[in-house]
Amino acid sequence: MQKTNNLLFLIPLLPLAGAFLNLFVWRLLAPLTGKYRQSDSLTHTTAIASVLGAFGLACYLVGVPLWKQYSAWHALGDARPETMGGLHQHLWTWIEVGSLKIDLAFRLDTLTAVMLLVITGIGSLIHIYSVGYMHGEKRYPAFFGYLNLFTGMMLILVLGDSLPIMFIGWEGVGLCSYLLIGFWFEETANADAGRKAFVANRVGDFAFLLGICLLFYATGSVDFADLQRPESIDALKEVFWGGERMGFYIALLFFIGACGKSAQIPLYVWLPDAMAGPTPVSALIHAATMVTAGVYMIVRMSFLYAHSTTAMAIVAVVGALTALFAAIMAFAQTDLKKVLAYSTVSQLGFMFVGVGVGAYTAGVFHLITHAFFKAGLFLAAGSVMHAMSGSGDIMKMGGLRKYMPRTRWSFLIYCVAIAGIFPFSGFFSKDEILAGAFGAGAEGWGPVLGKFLWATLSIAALGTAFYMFRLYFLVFGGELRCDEETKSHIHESPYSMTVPLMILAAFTCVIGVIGFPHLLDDKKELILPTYLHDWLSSTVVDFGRESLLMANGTSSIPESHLSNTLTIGLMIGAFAIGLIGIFTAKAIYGRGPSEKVAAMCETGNGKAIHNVVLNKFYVDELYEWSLYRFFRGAAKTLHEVVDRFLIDGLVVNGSAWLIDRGSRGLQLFQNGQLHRYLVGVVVGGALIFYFASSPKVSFDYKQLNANEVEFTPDFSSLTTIRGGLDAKGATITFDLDSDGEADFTSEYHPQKPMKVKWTFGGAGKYKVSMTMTDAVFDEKYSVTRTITVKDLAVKGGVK
Amino acid sequence: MTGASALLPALLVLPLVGAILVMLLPKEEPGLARGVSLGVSIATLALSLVILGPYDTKIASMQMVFDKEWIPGMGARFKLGVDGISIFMVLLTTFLTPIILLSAFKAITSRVREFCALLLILEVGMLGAFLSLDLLLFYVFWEIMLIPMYLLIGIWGGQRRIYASIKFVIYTMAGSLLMLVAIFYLYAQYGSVTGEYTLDLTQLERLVLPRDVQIYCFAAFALAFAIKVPLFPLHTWLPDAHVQAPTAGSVVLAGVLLKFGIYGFLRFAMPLFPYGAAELAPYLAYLAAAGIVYGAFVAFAQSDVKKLVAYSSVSHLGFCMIGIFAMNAEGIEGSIYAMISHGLTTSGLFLAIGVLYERRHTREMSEYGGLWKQMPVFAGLFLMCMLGSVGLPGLSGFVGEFLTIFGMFISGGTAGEPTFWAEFMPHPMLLGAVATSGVIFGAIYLLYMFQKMMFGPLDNPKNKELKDVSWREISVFTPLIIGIVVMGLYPKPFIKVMEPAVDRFISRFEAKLIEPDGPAHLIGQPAVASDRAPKTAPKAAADPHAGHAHAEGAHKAPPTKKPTAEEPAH
Repeated sequence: MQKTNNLLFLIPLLPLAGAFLNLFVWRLLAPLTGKYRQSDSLTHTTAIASVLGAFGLACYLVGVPLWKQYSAWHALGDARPETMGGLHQHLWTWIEVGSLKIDLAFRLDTLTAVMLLVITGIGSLIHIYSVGYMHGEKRYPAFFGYLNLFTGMMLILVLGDSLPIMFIGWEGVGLCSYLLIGFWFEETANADAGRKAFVANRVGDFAFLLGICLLFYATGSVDFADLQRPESIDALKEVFWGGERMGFYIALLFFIGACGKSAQIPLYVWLPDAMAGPTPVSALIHAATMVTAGVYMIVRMSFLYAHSTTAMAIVAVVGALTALFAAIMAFAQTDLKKVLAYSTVSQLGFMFVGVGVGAYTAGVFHLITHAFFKAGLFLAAGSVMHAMSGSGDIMKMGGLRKYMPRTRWSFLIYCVAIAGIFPFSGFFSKDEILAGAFGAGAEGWGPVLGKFLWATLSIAALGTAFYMFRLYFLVFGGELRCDEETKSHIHESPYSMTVPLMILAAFTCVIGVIGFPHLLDDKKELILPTYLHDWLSSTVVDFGRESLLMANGTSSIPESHLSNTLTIGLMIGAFAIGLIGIFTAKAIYGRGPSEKVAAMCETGNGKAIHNVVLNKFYVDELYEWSLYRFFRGAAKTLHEVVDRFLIDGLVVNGSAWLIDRGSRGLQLFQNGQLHRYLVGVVVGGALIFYFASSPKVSFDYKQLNANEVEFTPDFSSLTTIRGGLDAKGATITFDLDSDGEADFTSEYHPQKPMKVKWTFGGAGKYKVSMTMTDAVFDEKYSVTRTITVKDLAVKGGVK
Repeated sequence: MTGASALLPALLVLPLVGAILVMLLPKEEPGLARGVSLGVSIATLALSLVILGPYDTKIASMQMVFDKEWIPGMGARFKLGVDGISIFMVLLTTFLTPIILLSAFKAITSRVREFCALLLILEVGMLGAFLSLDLLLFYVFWEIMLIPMYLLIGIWGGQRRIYASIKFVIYTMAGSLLMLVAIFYLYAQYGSVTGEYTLDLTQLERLVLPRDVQIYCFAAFALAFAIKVPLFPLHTWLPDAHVQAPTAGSVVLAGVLLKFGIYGFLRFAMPLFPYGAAELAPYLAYLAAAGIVYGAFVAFAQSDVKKLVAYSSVSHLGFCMIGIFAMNAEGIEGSIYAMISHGLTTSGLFLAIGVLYERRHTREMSEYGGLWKQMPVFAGLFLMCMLGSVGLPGLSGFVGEFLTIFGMFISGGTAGEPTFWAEFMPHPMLLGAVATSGVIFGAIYLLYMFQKMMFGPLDNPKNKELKDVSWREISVFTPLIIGIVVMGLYPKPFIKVMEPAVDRFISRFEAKLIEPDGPAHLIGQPAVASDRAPKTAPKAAADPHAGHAHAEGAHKAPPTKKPTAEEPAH
């Protein structure tokens, strides 16, 4: 029951129009007002208005038409269909070739609704924040133009009704990310970071494209509605290659795509570097929205992942390892934004575990809460760096709580939330993922995998609480450690920056209510409401722990039951882990950088470990050596050796050289001296005579069946030289039983290919000779060959 | 012949007259020559748009056919026509010519008259070759194109222009001579089967040659076209020609001339010798896939930006080759699309390089850096062309690249339904995957180029005085960028025009491919093994299109490789 709504296109169009105005129209009109460049207020008014407009429209569409549809669907109770169609708009057919049809169409269902509100809501706040943060920037219009363009592309990504349309947004956000990371391109490092992000994303896109192709190969469709038909699902279950299902390979390809965009192992390396961009960009693109696109995509394709438990296991394991490694890498960072970047990578890992174990709601839930507190953290970091004259070195901060109270309190709230302290939002979402992992168990997973995921995440959560509070204490706790010059400039940021911080903090406090834990009473009814789960269940068929209440026997992932005691136990455990992390951090960094730790990092094993962590396990260096250098080296080698030397040097210019030299050599014969020509005539004549008078004959053979063999005489060398044969003909005889007598005699005719069939006694080797008698000179030419007749009963014989 | 058919010869006459007119202008007034030639080229563009009026997008076969006797003794005719494949090539040519002329206003200062006239003659040659429906006529136009191009490089080129222009000509000639031999062989065979001697493509298409002969003939044609594409490893003339050619020459070369390779395969080589094409398709497709990766790698190794873009053409045209050998609508239409898109984006890149070259007279990337700051408008234009070339979705490059990859990926059919091509194209998915890797490499070298030139500190003092683009230069880029965006966002109308012609191409290809083995015969007619039998051979049917029906029941000797043909054999 999909309903058409013709307003959907406006949601992405508004920000795109804003970008167009800021990047082109205002710039072209600026000279009319007598100014060289467009005014800043016009620029940010356009930008903010367009995003706020999109937010308002999204609120309306989700709140009125979609809500109506949802309530109606919800009211049906057990009789309701598995999924609810949502709103739909078909704009035009983008590509239609042969069997491939891609419509430019949008859909707004409950999953998209969540993303829409996050993108436009947080996006609006970040746009407002940027007014203060980017104040005085020379390329102010370009910044807002790109930011708007990004928002529009992100909206296309989540609204797209088919994979190719999603891919438009997917690549579009990558482009904006590239432009914004390298926004201050005068620094080569920034431009490098932008390029690195684009290329790493392209590796993912490569897999994404192949995924689209393979999916079409399997099911003949690329749009989401079609793909969920039973026939398509059946096609995904077919075994494709190496005993694995079609669904596995497709899911894996899409997951590689997700790894690129959402910075998972092994493609995460671009995200920490992406911090080179302005801070609002880090908040919007590299924390709240774009990097979560991979998670969104997997949830969107949950019907696909549900049919390959292997693929889901890979998603979950990669997510868990990323969560852990990124958390460890965050320990040793001394740059404010770098710590947050690794934290983002780590938290994305949590989300992937959530979707990997089939707890899709948990993954989306964490995506939402993370969007609030991580965007907040970045904006607060921006506020701090603004105060610190642009520096992000946490070793030179400290004691800022006195100078910037609003930023400090907001920052603290975000930290508590990300550490997973009750009752802040991060607690609920992280707990749901942990519980999902603990209870996960699918066909072929074995009993340990779920526990392993849970344990890994728990350690990562401990690490998260620790490094976040290390950060907090180093920035706001203790005493100020910067120089006097910087100190004199420290100030709380303007309201345009701190109000968004406070709004985000408020949401961070309360947003957890949308996903209370699943506690059941005696009648197996939920005690606490689970709004997000109910909301999403109309779109995402949830197979994990939460399928408790949704009778779904078709899934390959069995339901897992957690008792109330266990659920509460896990919650208390997660809470305790958060507290341990915080107090450890307080104990070590409560009064500023710890000298003990510093000393530990200077000696023996401590130093080695510290170096490894500080250098991010040398992964960047490894990539540098194995990929970049390889690529460069291969490029140079191919160019110098293959292109320049082999093809151009040897073959092309070589043949020219040969012709040049050859013609000079031939000149020697054309010297006008008659006696030399005469020698040529004599020698040539002799050669012709020699070749013409010694013709060779031969024949081919082919085994037809058991003992029968077909012979075909071959006169190719003969007829060309002794052309007279064509006219006069010749007699051919075959001796097929080695008795010296002709068994077959025929006149040769050039236009009728002669074929001789003979049946032999059985498999073995036989001597066959053919004789040709020339009708003109009456000369005989014979040839004898040993042929092999194969036993066709044996496998591998001639057909 | 309707009134509309006079349009096509008019399209050739107009620039030719223009060229003559330009040569008659006084030598002292180069501005006049520029203006007149620009006017003529715009008029030609307008005329080519007029063709769209009577052109019926639903008709698959040739339209507006102009057919006159040319060399009666030989059976060569002056026959022109357009269909859904060639119309885009014609439009691309007429679209790019004014842009090229406009872009050269400042760059060419010596022998302006000759330059303008040569470009117009080149346009005549290109249009003629795209429109020709007679093999000899095509060959003549094909060779005519070489001369102005040779002169463009040789007169207005860079330091090693003589080497580059000779290399260009010899490379191309070497390929096309074998093609000429194959054309005459085909001519003779057709004559001996039907008793009529003709070089008319529509007639010759009906001839089915013996299989091994098809392979040789296809190879001869393929060599000529593969050099033009250029297909790896026959590409080394291209970087030299590009680097030495003036900007206008590079644009014409990349924008239009390279397309003759792919177009030749689609129009001549494949319909004439389907079996040969089928047998050699895997090798050509492997070379194309290798070329995609190879071109990208070698492009990355360049320090001369023009060479980098030249090698990027090797990579991009590889996608087009992959597309046509996918032998399905997706692949072939994608290939045509990719050709048009390449014509726009790569022309844009060469023009951008030209803008910088006019100012700084160097093409070394290390000489530039941080130009965005100095020339923001130029940077935006350059960025759009670069992104179009990278294949960003929403811009033209993506549609073609995606469709060719997609087409190759499913060229053996989808999971449930294999197609006839599955027999001939082994490992289409592997080929598709290798081609897809081009999207990564393409991003690497193009972004690297862009970063080297536009980003980073503006530290070269010579660059600090660079002026941003003028209005004339903006107007050169604008139509290209509009094209790139429109073709990226709304490809449907373009694809719709190609569709009937491509479908017809595929169905005819398949029909001819499954013709029985044996001596040369006309399609649909039994292949009788007769000795020298022009007397007994059937006369050509009156309707040239009547003969392409399937040869039902005519399978005397079932071909070895056709699945459907095996049924009557058992």
